[in-house]
Parts: sequence; C-alpha cells; structure tokens
Amino acid sequence: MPLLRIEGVAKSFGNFRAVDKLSLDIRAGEFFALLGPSGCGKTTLLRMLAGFETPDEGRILLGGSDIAQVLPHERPVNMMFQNYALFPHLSVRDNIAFGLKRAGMARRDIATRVAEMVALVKLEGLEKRKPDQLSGGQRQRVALARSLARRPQVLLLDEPLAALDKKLRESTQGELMELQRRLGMTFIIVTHDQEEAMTMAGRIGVMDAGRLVQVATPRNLYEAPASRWIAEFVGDINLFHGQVAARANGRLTVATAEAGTLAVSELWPPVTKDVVSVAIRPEKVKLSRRAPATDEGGTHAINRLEGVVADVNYLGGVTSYRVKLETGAVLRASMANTARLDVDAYLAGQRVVAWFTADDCLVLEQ
Amino acid sequence: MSARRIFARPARLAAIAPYLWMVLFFLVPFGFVLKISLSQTAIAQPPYTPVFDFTAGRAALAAAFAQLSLDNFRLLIQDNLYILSYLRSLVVAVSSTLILLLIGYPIAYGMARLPQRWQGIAMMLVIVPFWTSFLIRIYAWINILQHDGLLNQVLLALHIVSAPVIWLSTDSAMYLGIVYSYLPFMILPLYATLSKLDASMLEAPAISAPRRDRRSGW
Repeated sequence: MPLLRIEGVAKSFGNFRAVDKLSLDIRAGEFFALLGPSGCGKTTLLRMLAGFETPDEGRILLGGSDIAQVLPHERPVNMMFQNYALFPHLSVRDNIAFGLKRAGMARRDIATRVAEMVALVKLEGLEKRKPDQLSGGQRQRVALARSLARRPQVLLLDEPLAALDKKLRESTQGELMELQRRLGMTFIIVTHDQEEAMTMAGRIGVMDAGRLVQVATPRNLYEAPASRWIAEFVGDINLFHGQVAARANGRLTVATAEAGTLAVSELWPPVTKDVVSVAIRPEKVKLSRRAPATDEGGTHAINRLEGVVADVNYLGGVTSYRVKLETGAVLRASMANTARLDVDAYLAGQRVVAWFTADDCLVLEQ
Repeated sequence: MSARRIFARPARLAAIAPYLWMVLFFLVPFGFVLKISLSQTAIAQPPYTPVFDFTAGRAALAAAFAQLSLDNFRLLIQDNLYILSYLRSLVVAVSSTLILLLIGYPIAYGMARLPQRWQGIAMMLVIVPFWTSFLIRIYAWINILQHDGLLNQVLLALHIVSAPVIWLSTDSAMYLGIVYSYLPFMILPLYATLSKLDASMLEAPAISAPRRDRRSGW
C-alpha cells in the first residue's frame, strides 16, 4: 500500500477542467516532483492534497483512509508556499512556533522543537528577526522550518525555489534533498523547471492539461519519453517525421523527408502505427569531418547525415551547433568541451558529417 | 555639474512665485489673525481695538502696540468651556473612528474576497453616494430624523414608540452623521490593502493550526 493514493481525482473551475481523472501512487519517503507547464493542473492537485480544494470526483487516500472530509490542519500534511506566506508581524521564532502554539503544545516542548527546527535549517542567531529583516534565502528557510515544525508525514512544496537566484537555488536544491533523506519524510514538489525536478526528485510525474502523461525516473523520462510532447517538453530534441519502411531484428528503417532513411532500434512496446517521428537528443549527435566507417547489416548501424554548420554557440561546458542538412532541415548537436583548447571545434560554414547510432534514436508515435 | 549650473538660476527664480503666494495668502492673513487674538472686541467699525493707522506717525503706532494684550489667551485657559469642548471633540473623533472600523472592516474584507467581477460593482456602490453633494445628503438625514420625519413615522406606525422621539441634536444623530459621511473613507483604504493580501496568507495558518482564535495571522 502506498502512503498516498490518488484515485481518479478530477477538479473543474467553471468550464475549465484543471485536473482530469488523475490517478497516482506515492510511496512513503519518496521525493516526488510534479512537472508541467503553467496551467497544467499541478498546483491544483497539490492544493487538493493540502485540503484547500476539494476534488469533484475521485478519492485521495492517505495511509489507506480517505481524507476528503479532513480539514487542512488535521491532515498529517504541511505545505511550503511559493511566496512563503510568512506572518510579517511575527518573529522567525514565532512564525515557526505558530502551529505548535495553536495546537496547545507545552511551552518547554515548543522551545525545544523551535530550536531543533532553527538548527535544521541553519537559522541560528536570527530567531528574533522579523521576515522583512531577512534575505530571500533566509525567508525560504523560515517557511521550510514552519512547514516542518509539526512533523508532517508529507510535505508539499509549491515552486519552493522560484524566488531564489540561480546559485542559491542550486545549493538549496542540495540542502532540500539532504533534509528529505535525513528526515525520511515524503516530499512532493510542484515545479515548471525540469532541471529542478530532475536534480531533486526520485520520480517525476509530468502533467499536461490536467492529466498525468508520464511517471518515470529522471533518466527514463529523458531517455525514454512516452510521447512527442514529453520529448519536446523535457530537454532539447531533434524530431524527424517519417514512415516505417521496414522492420527486421528489432530494428526499424524509417523513411523521413528531412533526414533521409534512418535506422532506429525499436523499444518495448513496439510502435503499432506506420507514421512516426524519429527523435534524437542533441548531445547524442556526433560531428566529424569525415564519415565514420559503417557496417550496414551489423549491430552498429550508424546514421550519417551530411551538412554545413550554420551556427555555433559556445556555452562554456558545451558547445551547441546547428547543422543545415542538404534537405534544408536543421539538426542540433551539442558537444562537451572536454579540452581547454578547441582542437575539436567546428566553424560556421564548415562541411561536416553528423552521425548517431540506431540505439541513440527514439521512435515516437503521434 | 554643468547642467546644474545652467538650471540653478532659473530654478531659484521659479521658486519665487510659490514663495510670494505663501507670503501673500498665508503669512499675511495669519498675521491678521494673530493681531486680532491680541486685541479687544469693540462694537464699532472696525470691530477690534487697537486700530493700527500707519499714517498717524510713530508715536501713535507705538501706543497702539502697547494696547495689545494676552487677555484672550488668559480667558482660553481660565474658562474650561474651551478645553472641555476640545476634549469632547477628541472623544467623538476616537469613538467614531472605532465605530467606523467596526463597520468598515467587515465590508472591506467582504469586498476583497468577492469574485473579481463583483468587486468593481461593490466599489461603485461605495463610491456612488459621492456623486450627490455632501450637504444634500446631510439634509436628507435631517428629513429622516426630524420630529415628524420618516423614522418617527415608521416607529409610530409599528407601535414601537407611542410619541415621536427627539433624534435631531442628539449624540446618536451626530454619530450617525459622522459614520455615514466618513464610511467610504474607512472602507476604500482598507479594501485597497486587503485586496492585495495573498490568499496563501490565510491558507498558511489554516494548514498549520485550528482556528482557535484570530489573534495572529488573521
């Protein structure tokens, strides 16, 4: 039995169906991310778990019992809000102690718990400050401490890092993961930032138009996206539309208009339709000056595409190239800058061969 | 630097106009009032003595100056009529502000929580009375409250009272008038602030604690 079971939950606002018959199981101690573009229903789902919205249909089971009629503060759940929602008139200590005081905890126990929370989020020495005397990162920590103070089983985090700058966001991601591991608590985070989801979460649920379109580990989500939409939403990808021309030995031959005939390894479950897209991630496309050797019939079939480098973007760790193929289509390739001196760099206007193996391609329906 | 030098002189010249305005229409009348406060009432034209006649020569002017006295200020302190009415005004101001807050806050709060399209209408309802002159609205209240006014007629018809009640010139009528006139000035700023309040400021306490009291966090 999973800790949290969402069964066919739906929620509409007027004519807008925010969450559409969604089912999902979340295990205890898991770091789960709900990822999707804005308006996909991820926040609405989170708010239903918190108890701020009631589902129109379906059930939400926590530890096996339906929590539809349970008030927010009675659920073993707490939430960290996107704008933190700190009480501006209360000190850091009183913000953290808020829920404990109201719950009627003994004074001494409150003091102990608050001290523990302050140490947990490293806010020692700032207990008497008011929220407006804190930096953005410190406010985020107060919000985290407040939401953890009552020791919930599940912590909901609504875009918790959106207000922080890049460097601080990265270090905070690490701290949140460390905290989650140490407390063994279930974290459910809502984010539109795929890098954030992939860095932190053990599993990611991708949402689109109120539905859960794929639930997978970060690696599977990136390397085996379930649909074209997911492939394009998560990371960069080259897509070529075509028709399946032949199937043999777990390998498809796809005739595309833009990139000629491509050899693709077939995934499980096999594609059923003939009209497909061949997808290849930019970092899996290699560039070379001369065509690599190939063994057409063997296991290492290689797709080779000739073209001209259209432009080069040096991004520090990687360089991304746009290669204009003879058909006029553009293929994106990125290569890690493994050496300091640019012996491997290509220049705009240079003729190159772009190549990739059949195993590095994906074949997607729709 | 050069820009500052170029603009410094015309800017100073431009400042002369408001200075002149203030001296002419504020400082000079203020001087008149100061002089009157140090003068004595006389049943004559002009109604205060001494009269300064700037053409009468220095001796006469000095004599007029000598006649100025602080009698009026002495009266102000000795007769407690003035201090009492001043204190009473303060009491009325404080209590009517409290009454306004008690009435205005729930209205503003309710307005801020209305669906977006109703908020505009609610705001209109608060503002519309401003389109009628303040004086006319107060006269309307006199009509309602007077001896054979609307209120007394209703009360008599319902047999709640047997004889007309005197409403006008009472404390209740005064508070009613003040509260009625100033209610929009209480509602609008409160509404402006409350409507900016994020909904999560209500949800944060809701998920952390039962609604035992409303001392903190609304």
